Amino acid sequence: MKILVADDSGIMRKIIIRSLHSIGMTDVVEAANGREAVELFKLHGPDLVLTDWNMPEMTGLEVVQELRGLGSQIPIIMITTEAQQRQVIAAIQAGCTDYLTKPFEADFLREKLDKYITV
Amino acid sequence: MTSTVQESLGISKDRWVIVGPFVQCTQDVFSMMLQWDVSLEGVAEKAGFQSKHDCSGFIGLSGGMKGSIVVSVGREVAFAAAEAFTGVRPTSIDSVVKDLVGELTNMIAGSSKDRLGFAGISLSLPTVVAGNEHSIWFHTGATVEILHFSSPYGPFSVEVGIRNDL
Repeated sequence: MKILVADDSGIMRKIIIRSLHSIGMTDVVEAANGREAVELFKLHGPDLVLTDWNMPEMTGLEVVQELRGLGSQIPIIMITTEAQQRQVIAAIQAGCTDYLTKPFEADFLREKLDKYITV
Repeated sequence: MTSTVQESLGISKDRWVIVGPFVQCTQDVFSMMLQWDVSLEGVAEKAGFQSKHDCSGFIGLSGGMKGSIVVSVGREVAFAAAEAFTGVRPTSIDSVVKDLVGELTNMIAGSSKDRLGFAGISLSLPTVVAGNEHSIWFHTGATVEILHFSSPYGPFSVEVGIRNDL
C-alpha cells in the first residue's frame, strides 16, 4: 500500500511517517507543498493521502479538490490545526474522507490510520 | 482551574480571555506531541520584547483578530524536542530545529485561535528566526502578553501581541 504524505513541515512529515512505519506502512511518498502533492499523486498513484491544510503553493483543500476532480476515490485524511466546524465541513464537502486536528497523540493517529490501511 | 490560575497570577478577567486559551493550548501541544508536562510560571505585559532564547517562531493573525504570536525556545528545549520527534539530537539550530519551532508555533497558534471566540481569524504560515538574545518588536499599537513556561528541558515563552485598535 502506497501512502502520500503532504505537509510543508518536514518534522511533521517525520512524525506522521514514524506512525506509519510503526504499523508496517513503509511505502511512503513525501510532498512539501500542495502542488508537489498533486504531481506526486499523478506520478505514484498512492492508495491513501494524508495532507496538511495550510501549505504554500496550493492548500490541502485545493489538493483534495484537485484529486477528486481527477476522479480519485482513495481515502484522503486532512491533518491540520484548522478545527472550526465550518472548516471541517468545507473539507468534507471538498471530498475529504476523514479529519484529524493538530496537536494529536501518536496513538490516536495510529488508530485513525488503522481504519484506512489495507494489506 | 482557569479561574484559580488567573487569580494566582493576579491578572484581570479581560486579560485572561486572551491569555487563557494560549496557556491551555500550549500545554496541550507539548503534552500530546512530546508527552512533556509544561507549567505556566508567570505572565508579563510588555510593549516590546528582547528574547532570552535562541530560536523564535512567528505567526501573524488577521481577520477577526489582528496581531502576532511568537514562540521562543532555548537550545536545550529545541534539541530535546527535535530528538523526541526524530530520534536524532541536533548539534546546532539547523533546518530541522527551525522547522520544529515553526510547527510548534503553528500548532499553538492554530489551536488557540479556535478557543478565542473571535470569528474568522486567519493565520499566516510560520516564520522562524534564530540568534542569541535576538530582538522581537511588535506593532506599537499592540498589547503584548508574555507567557513564561517551564519544561523538563528548560524555560520557553509564548508571546501574544494583539492590536489595540480592534
